[in-house]
Amino acid sequence: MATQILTDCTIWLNQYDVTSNVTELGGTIEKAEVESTTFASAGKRERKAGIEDSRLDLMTFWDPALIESVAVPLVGTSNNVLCATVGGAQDDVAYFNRGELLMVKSGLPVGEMAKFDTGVATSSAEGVVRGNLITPKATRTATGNGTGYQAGAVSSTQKVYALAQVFTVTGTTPSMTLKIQSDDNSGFTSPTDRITFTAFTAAGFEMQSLAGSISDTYWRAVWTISGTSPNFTFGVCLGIR
Amino acid sequence: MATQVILDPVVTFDGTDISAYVESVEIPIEHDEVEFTNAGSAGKKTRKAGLQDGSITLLLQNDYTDNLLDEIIWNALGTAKTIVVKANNASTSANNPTYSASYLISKHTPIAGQVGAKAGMTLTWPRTGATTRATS
Repeated sequence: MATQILTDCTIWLNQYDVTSNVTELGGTIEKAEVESTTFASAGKRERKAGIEDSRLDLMTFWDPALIESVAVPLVGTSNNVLCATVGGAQDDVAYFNRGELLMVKSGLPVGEMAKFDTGVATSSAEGVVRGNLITPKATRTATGNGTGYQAGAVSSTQKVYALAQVFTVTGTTPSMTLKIQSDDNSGFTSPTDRITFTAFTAAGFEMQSLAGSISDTYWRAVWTISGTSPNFTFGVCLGIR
Repeated sequence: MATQVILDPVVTFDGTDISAYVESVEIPIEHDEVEFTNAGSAGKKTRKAGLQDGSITLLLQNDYTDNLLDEIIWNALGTAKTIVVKANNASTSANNPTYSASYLISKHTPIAGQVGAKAGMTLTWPRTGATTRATS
């Protein structure tokens, strides 16, 4: 068992690591309660799960050099992604969603830290995805393979979701092709390419999915980096839902 | 009489003992109040019991370890699960009854809290069906 204190969460909004601004996280996944009580319910209310609603919210210190300048231009826009991990380390549990950034709220009380609230209201068929950080944020300058993680098989009713967030890119004509591979063994002796992201030549983000069924249970990210003195700082999360 | 301090309640979620994560548990059971006040009520409101309803509120410490609490709740979202609650970690008896019901796992707040605070959550799930009180 490993109950814990939240001290090392990482929070990435689109291609921005906003961890250093965040003081509190809020994440809710909720199914509507649809009453199904009938005369055969023996006088007891009965319910079934309805439509799912979810959002990931951030409470931060107001910072015009980071969260405020990032989030304000995004108000009212779609297809934003927010990823929160419990520790930022390899295989740490991650929750990520895609949707609308509908709200920013600045709080500027005299004598206290300036505050800023925002978040992403999920607006996608997948809802919030619970997964793992399969490739922690790090700077990479050459082609390589990530560490494999046994996320499990993907059934015929599920999809595998992968979120790539690239924070900084430097160099001359830098380009990175990032893929998600699966295999039936931890040694990846015969990997299969499952997802190929659009080539990254600048900071950005992309979320992709692939429907099952896939019997492989081991997953990893692999990247091919080219250019002159290329330098990519990125992280990848993967989940099955 | 045996009033007591709650020290070691037992909570099982779909057959899994999650007691080690539970800081508090509440299981209210109540009926709708259907008013029957009429001219013959002598100026006093009168009521009868309508539909019975229930819920469970758990204050939990979360655990992100593979296959443990966070994943258990995540996998149960949107489904009805049986939760059994007992005041003490002793044999079920007339002095230590169990309360068992099916609850709709309608909500999860997986990462919620301030930096430096424990990873925890307060979850309230509505009951669907009846509560069974057992003494053996």
